[in-house]
Amino acid sequence: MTTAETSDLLNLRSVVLSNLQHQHYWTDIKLLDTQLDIDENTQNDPLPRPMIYGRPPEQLYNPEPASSTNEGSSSERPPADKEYVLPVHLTEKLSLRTWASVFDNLPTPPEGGKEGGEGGDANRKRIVVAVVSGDSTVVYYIMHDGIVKPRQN
Amino acid sequence: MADEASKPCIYINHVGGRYLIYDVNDIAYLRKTWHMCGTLFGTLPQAQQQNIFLGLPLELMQEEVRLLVDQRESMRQKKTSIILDWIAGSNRSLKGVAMIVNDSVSHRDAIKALSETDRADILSLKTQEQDRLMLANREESMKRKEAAIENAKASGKWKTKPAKASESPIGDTDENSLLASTSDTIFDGARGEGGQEELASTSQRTSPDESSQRQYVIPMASSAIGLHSLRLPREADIIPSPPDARYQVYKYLQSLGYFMSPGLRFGCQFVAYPGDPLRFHSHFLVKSLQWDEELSILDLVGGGRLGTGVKKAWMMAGLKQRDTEADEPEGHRVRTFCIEWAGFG
Repeated sequence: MTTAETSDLLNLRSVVLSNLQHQHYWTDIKLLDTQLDIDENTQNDPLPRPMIYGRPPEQLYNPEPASSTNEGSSSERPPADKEYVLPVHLTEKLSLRTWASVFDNLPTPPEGGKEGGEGGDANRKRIVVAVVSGDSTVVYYIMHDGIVKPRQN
Repeated sequence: MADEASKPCIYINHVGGRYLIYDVNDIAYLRKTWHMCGTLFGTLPQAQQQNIFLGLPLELMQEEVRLLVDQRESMRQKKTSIILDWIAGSNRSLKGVAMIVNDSVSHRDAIKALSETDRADILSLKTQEQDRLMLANREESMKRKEAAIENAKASGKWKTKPAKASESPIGDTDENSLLASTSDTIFDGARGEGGQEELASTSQRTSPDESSQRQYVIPMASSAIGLHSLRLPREADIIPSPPDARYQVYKYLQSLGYFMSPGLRFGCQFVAYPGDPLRFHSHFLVKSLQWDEELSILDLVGGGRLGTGVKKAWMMAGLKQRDTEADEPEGHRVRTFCIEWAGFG
């Protein structure tokens, strides 16, 4: 990857970063770079693209319907899971190989040990794809690795 | 045919580039055992516009046909006895899945291969059916006539024709001529003797030997003529070859028990149902890709947005290209990603 491309991606990430922070109130944000944040514990390759790791204000992906998770007051609610965000530009074209390498090289979640597994769904890797368009609109999509039943069905 | 264990090979008819199945039992078997639904597209002549009432034949997707044929190949390789059977030409005994029949060629060959005895058999069957139909029709029209007379009597319109005895040569006791003359009175009083004679001659024609009066029957699939099979059709070599990416993805999801159907309605290649489409909504809108095929982000956004709007997930999938020569099981080589709208932004 040339320096120019890398700086493009870093600029892209800064757009998404400010959008997440100021429009969607994400917290605990950490930036993951392609070279610097290699997880020493795993044998992963470096991340193919710069990413963002942060905590949304509410649990982002809830496979259960809203009614069944309605348990008591909102103050007792545990903090939302942190998510990996991959910034992409609308004019990009990515192949399955690229997507697969993003998933394969995600760091293993550091809080996975202390919070404990939340069943089968927690084992599934997922990322949030942040798509930036020319007018700096950002839209977000959840992408799962593997076959995951849609939420509302 | 109902017995699944002894289910013989299904004939898939190749007609004009499409793969069709005409046998209801085969369709039920495919749906139950292979979770393949296909698409019914036969219209009723009376209601061509009402495509919720579509019936036989059933069209299969290329991927479905390919899978069925491939299954049979692998079965054949497993069992030598079956191979011998197959060489001997008794394809029907093969407990395989399906074979493709070139429809027009096999029709032509069957006609050519028809022996004189076959021909006579078919002809006599046909004659019998036609005669049966003729007698049934006649009986029905007699009944209708009688009912009409009863109605007329009840409503008081019935009047005995005074000249009846002289007009009818056979006399009062002849039920047929009585019917003839009365119906004459009721329906066509003005026509007189000519009409009466015509009707009388109809009612006397009870013998099926009068071939000139026989009614002609277009054989239906359910009739005895249709079932009189001629010769075993030869297997055609028109095996469909769908694009590899599509076929691998289809095969993978199919092997997991998904019901796959064509995806035109949701702008994708396949729609995947977790169970029979009569019982479940579909879960995934599937787009297959080659491993290095580039997909525009806009397509991903469009698919994700549409899928979420109809409570489904948009799925992109493809056969993983092996970088190393590591032996992975076939099933694990398809990689899938499911996309939904995140709910914000």
